[in-house]
Amino acid sequence: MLTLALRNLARNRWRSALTLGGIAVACAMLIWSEGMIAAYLSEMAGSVTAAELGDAQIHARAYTEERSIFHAFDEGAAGLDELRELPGVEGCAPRVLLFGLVGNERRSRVGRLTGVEPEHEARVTRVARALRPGEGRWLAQRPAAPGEPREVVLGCILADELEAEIGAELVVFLQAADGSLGNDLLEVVGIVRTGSSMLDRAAIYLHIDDARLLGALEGRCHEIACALDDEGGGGPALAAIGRVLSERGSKQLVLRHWSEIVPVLADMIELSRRSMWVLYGVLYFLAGLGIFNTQRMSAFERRRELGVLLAIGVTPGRMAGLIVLETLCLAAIGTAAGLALGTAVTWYHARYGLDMGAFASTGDGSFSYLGVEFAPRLYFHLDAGMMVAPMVLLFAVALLCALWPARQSARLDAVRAIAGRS
Amino acid sequence: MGLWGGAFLALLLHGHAPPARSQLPDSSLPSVREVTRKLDTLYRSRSSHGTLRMQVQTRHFSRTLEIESWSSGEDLALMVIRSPAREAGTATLRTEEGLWNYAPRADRLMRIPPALLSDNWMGSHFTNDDLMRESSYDDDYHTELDWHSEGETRFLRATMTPRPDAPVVYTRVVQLLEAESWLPRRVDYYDGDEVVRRMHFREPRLLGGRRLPALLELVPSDRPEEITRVIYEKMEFDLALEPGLFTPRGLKRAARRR
Repeated sequence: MLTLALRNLARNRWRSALTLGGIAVACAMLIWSEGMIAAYLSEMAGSVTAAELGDAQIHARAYTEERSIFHAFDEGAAGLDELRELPGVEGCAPRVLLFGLVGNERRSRVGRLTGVEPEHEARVTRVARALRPGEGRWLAQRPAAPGEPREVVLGCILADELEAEIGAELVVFLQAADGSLGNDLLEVVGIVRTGSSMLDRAAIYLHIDDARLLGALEGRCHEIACALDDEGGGGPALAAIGRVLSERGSKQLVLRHWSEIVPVLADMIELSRRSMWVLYGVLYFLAGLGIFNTQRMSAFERRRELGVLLAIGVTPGRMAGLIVLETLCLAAIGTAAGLALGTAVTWYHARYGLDMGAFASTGDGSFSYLGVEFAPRLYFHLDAGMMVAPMVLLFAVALLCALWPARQSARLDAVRAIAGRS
Repeated sequence: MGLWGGAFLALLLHGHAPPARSQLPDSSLPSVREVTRKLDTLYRSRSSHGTLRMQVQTRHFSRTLEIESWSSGEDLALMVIRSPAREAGTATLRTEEGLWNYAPRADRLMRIPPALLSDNWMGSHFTNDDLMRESSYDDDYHTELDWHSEGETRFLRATMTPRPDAPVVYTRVVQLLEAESWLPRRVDYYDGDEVVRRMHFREPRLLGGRRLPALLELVPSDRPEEITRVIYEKMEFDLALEPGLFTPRGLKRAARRR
């Protein structure tokens, strides 16, 4: 019967090829769009985390309720060095967060001074790589020498508002954790465009030891941002960090995934993910419609031939089976071809990226959407699950689409069908 | 109503002087103008110089600052922190043009933007606005006087409501004055019907030849365990100040002097 089905398909090559092509293209498109959407969503999540959050953060419990300079914790209590050694943890960046007035004789602004370990911060966020072209450098590894101005890197909007350029000197005033008034001289060494307008507006990065001196926070920090590898969505690494914290009995410390810290953004990404299902639905529906149409037409065109088959004693059941089998054969060959095509194209875009410059709203080709900034090239994701799902689903769709023509054919009245009246 | 006598003190007090606005007095009440004139003569000075201590107590820290202050006329004032050592030399300058902080470590002045006027001043419960406020109670407030008793004590009460377009954050300011001397004893700042902060004036004594409350206490109502105390140690009035004191250069000179 399989031979018969294949022979039937081979007989009208045009029609079969068209259906096959339809299935193949649908399958390929599904794989490709899944690869793109997965990349897009993770880029979106990445943009959210890459500017500042990292994948997870550790805070003092009180800090999660009130973001105040006073709710700092001892870096050692969190076992920072131990955390950095954990498998799956790509980086841990402690930070001191202070609000202060920064400016000069003519103008000043409130900024958020973020004391960072320059090297570790670069591992967790992309701030160090977000320098505006030709605008200075990232912070030096060492804090300022006595008597030297302290190096700072400014967010670009803040820098513009202060009319500060590389080499500009600024004064900072802030209230330290002991209540005293810290004041010092800063020197701008870099200007960054982080992709987060909040940071661009307020961020002032400086060496963590400089920040501690200003804030009277010896050995303490306000948060530790962690970068986790993608293994299991970062889950195992997150759990490992949690274990270290609880082993150390740090009840005062809270570990949170970024989606818990900014649930609004997490929800937004989840919403995008779900809305993609509508797109998938449309694609499957269109593919199904194509298959359905060709199978119906083919059954219709072959009415006379099918009538003969019935007349020579093929049972209606076998007849229906034949039609279904034909469709499945088509689907098998079509999805196989689609798989090859889709994987190849998606792999290419995973490897070399797709130029999103067409959407660019900025000079350097990067673009922003929903307040999230995207890189100019989107690198697709590709994994086995992405290939299997369209295949299986298209098979099911094909099967569904074959049922009706099969049923119709099985019900043919042999005499009328042969006579060409029906 | 230009009274900038005694920098901080007068600064805080003179703003609370009821405006000289005539109004038909209750038979037993002095007129608003009378009260004002009294307050005017109490605090008015061409210039002043003094030292004060400011104790700030919050949930997180408590500390004491020694401050030296100068003032001239309505608009010019300079305050320099003398101790603790870590902050010595930090200064605030007020002129007609605005408010500046001086960072001694950086040897730079920094302008305080108007948006920050409601921020606290030098970590205390006073705001920059308290320092910056123009002497415009006259224009900004409508004042009513009556007698008010708390326990055994009788006070002259001045209830001040801001005029509709006045740039005032409080909905009402109520001050209790001593019945005899009309020295202020307590000022309540309202937001809606709630007192959001309360200032006490205590320990009147002779300062620079005038009887003035030497202790000010400011308590924010939402954090009753916190307090800022200002204690006046020495005041001189109507003295000759060195020229150019209220300029960046003069400020630096004054700030570096120990």
